[in-house]
Amino acid sequence: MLSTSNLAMWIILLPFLGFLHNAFAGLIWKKNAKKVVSYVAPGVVLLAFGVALMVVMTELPNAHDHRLIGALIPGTSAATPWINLGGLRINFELLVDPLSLLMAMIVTGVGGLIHVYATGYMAEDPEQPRFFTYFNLFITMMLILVLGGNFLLMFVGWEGVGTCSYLLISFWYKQSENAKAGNKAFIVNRVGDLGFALGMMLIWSVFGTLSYFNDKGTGVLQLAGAGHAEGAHTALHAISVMGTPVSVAVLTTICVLLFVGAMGKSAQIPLWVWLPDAMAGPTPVSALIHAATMVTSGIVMVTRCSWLFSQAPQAMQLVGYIGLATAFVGATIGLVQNDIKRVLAFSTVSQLGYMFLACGVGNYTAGMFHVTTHAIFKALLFLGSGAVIHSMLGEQDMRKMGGLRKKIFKTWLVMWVGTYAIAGVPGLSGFFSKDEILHSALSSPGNGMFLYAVGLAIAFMTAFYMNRLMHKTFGVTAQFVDGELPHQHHSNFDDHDAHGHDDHAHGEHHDDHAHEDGHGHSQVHESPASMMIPLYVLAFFSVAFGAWAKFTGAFEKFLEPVVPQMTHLEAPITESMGYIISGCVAIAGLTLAYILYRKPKVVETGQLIPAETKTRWEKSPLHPYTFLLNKWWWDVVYNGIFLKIGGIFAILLWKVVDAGIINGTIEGLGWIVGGFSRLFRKLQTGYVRNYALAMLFGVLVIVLGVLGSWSIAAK
Amino acid sequence: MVGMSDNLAAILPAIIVMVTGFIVLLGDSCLPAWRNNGKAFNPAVTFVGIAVALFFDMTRMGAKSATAFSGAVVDDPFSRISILLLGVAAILAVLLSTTYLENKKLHHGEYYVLILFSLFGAMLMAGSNDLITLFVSIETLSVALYVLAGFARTEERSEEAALKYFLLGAFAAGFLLYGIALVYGGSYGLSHTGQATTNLTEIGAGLAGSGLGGVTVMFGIGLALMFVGFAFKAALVPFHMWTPDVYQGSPTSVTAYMAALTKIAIFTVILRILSVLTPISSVWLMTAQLLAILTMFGGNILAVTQDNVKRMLAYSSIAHAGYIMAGVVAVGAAEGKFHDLAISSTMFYLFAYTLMTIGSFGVLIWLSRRGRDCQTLGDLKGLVKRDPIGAYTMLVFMLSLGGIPPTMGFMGKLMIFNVLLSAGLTPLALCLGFASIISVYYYLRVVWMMCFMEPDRETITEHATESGGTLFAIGVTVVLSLFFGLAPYLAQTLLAPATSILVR
Repeated sequence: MLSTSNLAMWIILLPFLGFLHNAFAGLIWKKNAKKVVSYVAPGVVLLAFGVALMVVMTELPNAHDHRLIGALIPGTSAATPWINLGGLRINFELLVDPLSLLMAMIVTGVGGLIHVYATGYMAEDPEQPRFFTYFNLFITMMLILVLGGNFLLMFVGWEGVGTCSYLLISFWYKQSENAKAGNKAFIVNRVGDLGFALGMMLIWSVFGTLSYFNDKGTGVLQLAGAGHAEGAHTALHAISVMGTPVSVAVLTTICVLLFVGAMGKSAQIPLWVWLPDAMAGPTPVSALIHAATMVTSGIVMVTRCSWLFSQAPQAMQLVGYIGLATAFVGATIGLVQNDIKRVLAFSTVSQLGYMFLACGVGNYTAGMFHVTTHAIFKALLFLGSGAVIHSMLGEQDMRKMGGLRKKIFKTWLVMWVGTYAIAGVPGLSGFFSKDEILHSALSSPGNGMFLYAVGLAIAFMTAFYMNRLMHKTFGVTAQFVDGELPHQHHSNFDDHDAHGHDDHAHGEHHDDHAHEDGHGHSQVHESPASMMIPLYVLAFFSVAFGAWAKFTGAFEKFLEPVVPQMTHLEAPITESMGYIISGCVAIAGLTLAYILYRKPKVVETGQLIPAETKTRWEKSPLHPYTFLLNKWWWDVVYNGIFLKIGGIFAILLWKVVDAGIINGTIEGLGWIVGGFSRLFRKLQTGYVRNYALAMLFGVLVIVLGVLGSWSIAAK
Repeated sequence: MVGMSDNLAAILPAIIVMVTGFIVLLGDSCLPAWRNNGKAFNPAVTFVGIAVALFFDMTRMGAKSATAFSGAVVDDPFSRISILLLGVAAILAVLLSTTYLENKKLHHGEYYVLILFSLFGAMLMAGSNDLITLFVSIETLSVALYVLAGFARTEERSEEAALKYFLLGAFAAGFLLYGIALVYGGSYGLSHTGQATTNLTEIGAGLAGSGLGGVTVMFGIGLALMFVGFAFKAALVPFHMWTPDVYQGSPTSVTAYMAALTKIAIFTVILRILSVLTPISSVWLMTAQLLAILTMFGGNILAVTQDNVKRMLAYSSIAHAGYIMAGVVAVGAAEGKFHDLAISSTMFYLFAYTLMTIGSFGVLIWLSRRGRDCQTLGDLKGLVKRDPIGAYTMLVFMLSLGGIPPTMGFMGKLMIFNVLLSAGLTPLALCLGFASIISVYYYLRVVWMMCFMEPDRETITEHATESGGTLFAIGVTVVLSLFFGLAPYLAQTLLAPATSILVR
């Protein structure tokens, strides 16, 4: 018997109510809409965080087997069907267990802070209510994804967050590159979604259900868990449905298909190309969706299905190697990028790869640990970079920054915390989570040493590009003239800049500033409190969370019931030795960047050499700098294959199949139906006598029909 | 022997509605204070009366089924659900009416009295267990509706609608009564008492005992003629000819009410009578199927060339009667748990139909709040710019009527389709599919007019009377259509008691 949770639905419903409110705020509050929205939107998310905490505190400890089932709709039970067609029955059910609650707390906690931050960041945008409408909807969908009690509800959330991501990337849709970035994200994700959908269908046809857990004990994860328990003693393929064992080949197919879905959402090779472009959205979006939460849903999904994956070793290997490759590619590209948000984007790609590496080597807890710490410090870094961009009035190119340390000291301080955390400086949270992954990679059966070495190289590069970012942004002398910054605030309304500053609705900070310095907005300035406070909170957790979780062992104990414990080899080095090695690597990376970027105008190959003096090698597309700057030419290759060749195919389908065959048929049929319609219409004369005649005809039909079938039936 | 209080309790909702009707009638004509504030008093009292009736209806929802008045009336979950739907339809119609009538200068107390009396008739229909009671209640409903159809007495079209409806209705009533007489005659020897009877319970018991052998020619013809009367009320092809003229001519609020109310009431009756006739389903199933197919295609094909939205919706309601009829056929053909599923699916479709019909006519009323009736497709041009609320709600209803997710109309069609397939009626299911494909054309044409055409200059008018009631009714229907479209099984659970029809 599974325990029930009555509170869990409110974690989802609160942001949903917020979404509804924000969508209609303009109708309800008229001119005050922006102000009300800026309280409601973060409010509902933080309240949801409170509810999630309450579930953890009160309901989870009493739950049988660390697991509760909840209903999605108030007043119903978890057994209320949503779809009930033949053999397919999908319930409005939630699964509340440590994994979903951990994610719910990340989504609402980090998400809530980012909401608070966004009230400052988006204060001047005239479309702020629209922004928060999408933002709350995103939180709702993300929570459905993590809390949903079956694969289809997860898929609902999966698609929902994809839609919100699309809407938010192209939030400033007037600039066509933003709209294109949104399209790219959406379209690339479709490929992954197809994999997920196929995997889901296969699960249904094999297991006969999509629920994770049910009272009868036939939920997908229940069967897989039982199989795992048995497999520990006997053969590996121990999952059986109604007594029929499921073959490893089928399980592997399911897992690979699901992982294709994860590749799309979590930006893994080969579906990673959308994430860097997704930075076109407002910075809080990058922080919330494209760093902290949505992009980790692939890892969450793999972890959720870890009982399946753990019995498909080949699928796990694929996960691990794809993760490692992505981590490597992402880190190399991150080394040379000039856009501050792009560096962070590639860093996200790379860190996501790390998390998949953890899943691939069977240490799902480490993967989720890194998801958690990464959510905190990457949100911090993105929000910090947002604060920088905000201070620089929309400038994102690091080559035009520099020397910001004194001007925005507080931002600099929190950014350092984030940098050290992600670089893996000993003691900060990134250090512990990354080391955990590296250590389990080393002790995994197979190429442990190879995985470890590449992992260390990536850690080195991470430390390097992060310190490069810090120095280029804050360190060297200013590459711009303060007070004459061009105003680049994004908005869909061009005339906004001209009027915006006098509008008192736009956040007190800016008005003060405008009056103080007389230069209006053209000077570098620290961000308002609504933006800084979330940064402090995140910075605190970036420092403290990792050590707390590691030394108390709380994190591992929390997740223990939901992930399989894999058998590991004895690692060739002890854990403390591992700490020392990765600590040294991180510090080495930081130091190298310090040496190279300490002074201004350090030569970056290819950047300062005029084109005509370049050697043939330097002009070559395979020259490392060009190669990396252009993302390994990944986009170019995709354009060639999918856009050019696929385009020809699409035109063929359009001109011949669609315009010719399909349209021809439909229009022909339409013509016939229209003809009949015009014909029958003539019967509708408007004269009662004719109507009565038609009725008499009907009487004849009915009487003859009844008598006819009676005489047939009577025989 | 049941006491009088039990008898009255069985038809309590109907009695409350009737009494409310008398109160409004007397209050409006005798009390000057009431008369002067008729705008507020009449709809308010009507609303409260129906609401109280529904309250009592719902409190009795779980009670045991019983017959009353010597078996002439039955009070079972099926009739209670049906009464609930009828009441909801009436409440929505009242909400839609007030401002519309004022704009048309038609605001008279009689309107509400007639609404209440017709509702009384419809509620009695839902509980009729005797053919005579049935006939009387059908006529109670019909006579009130004849008058309502001609309520805009200064308009020729309205007059014409009333007269046509009345003449053809009288014609159909003749068939119905003659059919009842023949069934009465044919039932001689069926029941265990050996007496002729019009009581459905007794006829049902007799048929269950005798099977096909008990059916005489007289009984068969009687059934056929009775069905003519029902088919006229339900507007099945070829008894549908009055529908477009009457729907177009009547005031829009009356059309909305009539379209929903008569369909619910008559299909309740059809379902009840056919469940009595289940033992001899081979006699009527073919004919019912034929009517369903004719109606689906007839309604949809004729709707394609209509330029008047009210007329188009009239044909569309004919087509929907065909879909519901298909559900009824499935009820007759399916066995075991599919039988129950077929009933609840048909009831779900009736509910969906009620919401989307009242909703779409409601939007027309909402658009007519500027004083000028909104009727033609041209009136809808560029609506999305002129009146986004109207346009978006209309969009939902058009999608729902066309059976496009995530609306209730889609789910309803899916359910009917599903039960048809499980009842082994694949050809009928295919016909339903093809017929709905045709329907998408004219529903989406409305959407196209609203969203992709520029407004004509003269259709842009500024002056508008705010109409809270109308907006509320539309809002409720939109929200419910979408909600039950996404969570259909909640509605089906709600309607589940309807599957226990008391026959024997």
